[in-house]
Amino acid sequence: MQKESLKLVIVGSVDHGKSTLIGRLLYDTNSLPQEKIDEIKKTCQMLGRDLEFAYLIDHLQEEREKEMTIDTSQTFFKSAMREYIIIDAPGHKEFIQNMMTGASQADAAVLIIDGSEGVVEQTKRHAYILNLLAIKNVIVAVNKIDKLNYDEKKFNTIKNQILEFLEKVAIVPLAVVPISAKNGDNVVKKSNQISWYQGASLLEELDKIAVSHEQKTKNLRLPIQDICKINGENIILGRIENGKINCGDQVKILPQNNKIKIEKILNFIGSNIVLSKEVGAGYNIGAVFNSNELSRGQVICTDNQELPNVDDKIKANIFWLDQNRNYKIGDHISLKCTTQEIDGIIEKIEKRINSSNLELLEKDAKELKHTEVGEVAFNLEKPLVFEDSSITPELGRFVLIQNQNVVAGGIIKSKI
Amino acid sequence: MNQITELEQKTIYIIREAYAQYKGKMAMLWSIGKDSTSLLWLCRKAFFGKLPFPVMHIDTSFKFKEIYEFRDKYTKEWGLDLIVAKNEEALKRGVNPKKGKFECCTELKTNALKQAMTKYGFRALLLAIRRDEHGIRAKERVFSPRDEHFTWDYKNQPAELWDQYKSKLAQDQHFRIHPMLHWTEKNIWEYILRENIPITSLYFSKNGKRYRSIGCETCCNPVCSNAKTVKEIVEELKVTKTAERAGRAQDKEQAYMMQKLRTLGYM
Amino acid sequence: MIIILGFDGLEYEYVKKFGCRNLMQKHFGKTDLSQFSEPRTIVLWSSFLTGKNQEKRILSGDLWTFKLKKEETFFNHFKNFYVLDTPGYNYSEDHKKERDALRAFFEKKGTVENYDEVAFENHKKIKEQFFNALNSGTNFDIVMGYFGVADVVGHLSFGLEEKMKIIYNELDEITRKVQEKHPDATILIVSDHGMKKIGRFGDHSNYAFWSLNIDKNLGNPKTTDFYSMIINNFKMSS
Repeated sequence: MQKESLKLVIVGSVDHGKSTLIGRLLYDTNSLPQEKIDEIKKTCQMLGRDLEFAYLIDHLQEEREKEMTIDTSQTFFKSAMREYIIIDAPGHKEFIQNMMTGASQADAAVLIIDGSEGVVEQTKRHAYILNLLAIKNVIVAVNKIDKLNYDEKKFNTIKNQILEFLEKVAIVPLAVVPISAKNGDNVVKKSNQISWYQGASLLEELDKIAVSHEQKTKNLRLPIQDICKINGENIILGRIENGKINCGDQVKILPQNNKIKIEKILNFIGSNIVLSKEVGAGYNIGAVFNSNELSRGQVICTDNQELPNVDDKIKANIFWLDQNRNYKIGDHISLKCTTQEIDGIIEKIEKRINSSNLELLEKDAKELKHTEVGEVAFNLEKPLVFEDSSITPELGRFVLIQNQNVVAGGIIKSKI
Repeated sequence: MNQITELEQKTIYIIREAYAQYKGKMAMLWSIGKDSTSLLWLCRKAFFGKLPFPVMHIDTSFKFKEIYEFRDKYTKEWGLDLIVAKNEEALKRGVNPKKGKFECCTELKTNALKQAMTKYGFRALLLAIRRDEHGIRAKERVFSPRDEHFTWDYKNQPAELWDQYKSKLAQDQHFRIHPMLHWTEKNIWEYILRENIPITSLYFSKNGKRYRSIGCETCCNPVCSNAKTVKEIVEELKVTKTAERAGRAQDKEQAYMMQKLRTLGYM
Repeated sequence: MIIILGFDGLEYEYVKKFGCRNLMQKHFGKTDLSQFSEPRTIVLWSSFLTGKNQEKRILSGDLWTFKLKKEETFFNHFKNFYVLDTPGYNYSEDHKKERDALRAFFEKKGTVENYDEVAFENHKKIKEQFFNALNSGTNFDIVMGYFGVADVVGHLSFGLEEKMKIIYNELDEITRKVQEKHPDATILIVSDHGMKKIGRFGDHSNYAFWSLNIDKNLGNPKTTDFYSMIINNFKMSS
């Protein structure tokens, strides 16, 4: 089923016009607090002055930053298709953990690039993060096209530069749209200033994105979150990350590899417990199995040939987020993937990479620093249940914990 | 899955995640308002009607009588383990809103909560705050650590990727857990409507006025509204532009300005 | 020639924040208002015009109808002078409409828009009168123009920066026109007080703004210090 709303993150270098674009999207979709806009328009009119759009937007942004009163409509806007929720994602390097926190919740991303400046350090880092977070729906907005005199050749030059770079981070954008956030060209409506551009406006491109909750496979993936006792029965709690669960099915429990049977699926409606026959992906369920050996961190799966991997040695790409401490080979960390939490060490940093230009800094490194990317090999104390993130995203991504804090995010590449 | 179900499922996941980590050391803060009553509803859903942790009501003793009635009725009906937290010492000293609103809030809300946290040894608290309530809330995390002074270091927060939440705490910290952070005021009302969640009658219009958010009787002002049912409130919110709390703040500022302009001779 | 631009309620911090280049002349700064119990418009302008603290005298009678005699003000020291709508001197009755609209707003009988309309109407009229006089070809020794719009609109909207910026730009523009037309004049820009935000509203702040286009740094002058500077044509040691 189609989702009614789309969570959108707008990333890119701080001064490439992110806030102006947000403002333009809100303004042109009539999502800004109307009274305020009217008052300002009226003032301009009465004094015979022009409305300074960029200033208005900057100020609304500033108000948000200063934690003053905001209207909820500022972060929401609607197209004819659906509702959009803009997730804040600060651009500065020191806020990279905030940017990642925001972007990790997004269904789609707009990567904004100043057409007169092209790809800069932050653009590269943000693009890499989109790849790391496995955000597949990416649209590139080439901003300030007015500064390039709406010139097709100049746009194509910058477009090629961007595409060449994005290829390195394995991002295939859904579209590259020339826009002027300041003037509103191609943001919500197609601009007649850019007649050579055959594509749709940015919002029209966003509307084309299909976000659905349908499971990618029929195979059940249910990580156990907790067990609670109701009326003397042990109820297994967890969220179905993929596939669906059917009452009466024989399933496998990993990493133990034992067979168990689903006896009951519970649902709570109004004030009563009701039994369900079948529940699909995305739902948190309660279920009863014919086993007493279940615990948090195990993964219940459909019993067939397509079981996830189980291994204590894995390879992954990680993004180091801790500004206070570097990772040193052999340091103890915890790896959290779904409800699994396993201690271990990184035994090898095969490559240490600069996230801002993706340059290889070092092979077989001993240390990983803030904002650096590592291609690493883990040695875990217990086996981990995992799967390619393109099949079950939740089983292909993880965070690392050290001193009680999330210090890195990562994507599993393979078994060693 | 529609948007409200999606919100609901995310919240249930967070509630269960919190409980899995903080069994026996966690409580839910219940102000008896619409948000925390919805959260309570979701907690009951997460555990099939049987809440495995206590709910705590911070009682300033200045609440509306409707609040006490509602609390007692549903505590019984839903079999809740209710903790009523009161700062008895401050109440004995005669702290009240007339003597100073700031002191009153600090003593009867913040300090009452601090005392209860120490008394029961809670390390995690479920709260029904939402991102759209106030600008600063936009910076909140779902699992938000606070130190022993209850301070929130929002400039230096850990990353929260996907739905992997910080689970471990330093010695003197406790967690504020916000399972409804991603909801809006409108979502809440739509959910109340869909699930038929009981809420106190203070939210419904009487003589052209109703409360949009409720706290103490002494410091709450109703807004003008004719919405007498949840459905009418949802409709009203579709056209309202003012923020939930803005009404209260602007009234105060306006009163101050009127006073000031009189002093300056304008009126 | 000396040209004085009196901008009621012009706030130093906004002038800087909004980058009003023309308002920020060669030297500019804040004025000290500590001698007054409250920053009241009529009191401040009257004290500015006379070099004497007029607070006690004015508060003993009716504020808005108070009028100084020419002999008390610095205009008395000049042969040809032009004064436009200045509080405490020849402040127009038209401003009563602004105060009425303000009261109407607080009594919930009027809107911000009604109030602003009155303010802008007055502003337009005054602007026209001012430039007509200034460009009339008369050889004035001193001209004083008074513009109340920043203060009037500010009372209900000072907290809305994007709205106030439009008004500050307007005043900056008026200043530019004056400067271009009279490049040889000594131009003094003064406000009676600044403003501070109370939510969306604006209260008076306890300092004011000054700005001078000649090379004299006035530092942190009192409202009453300008009188002697003006009558001496700023020929004092700086």
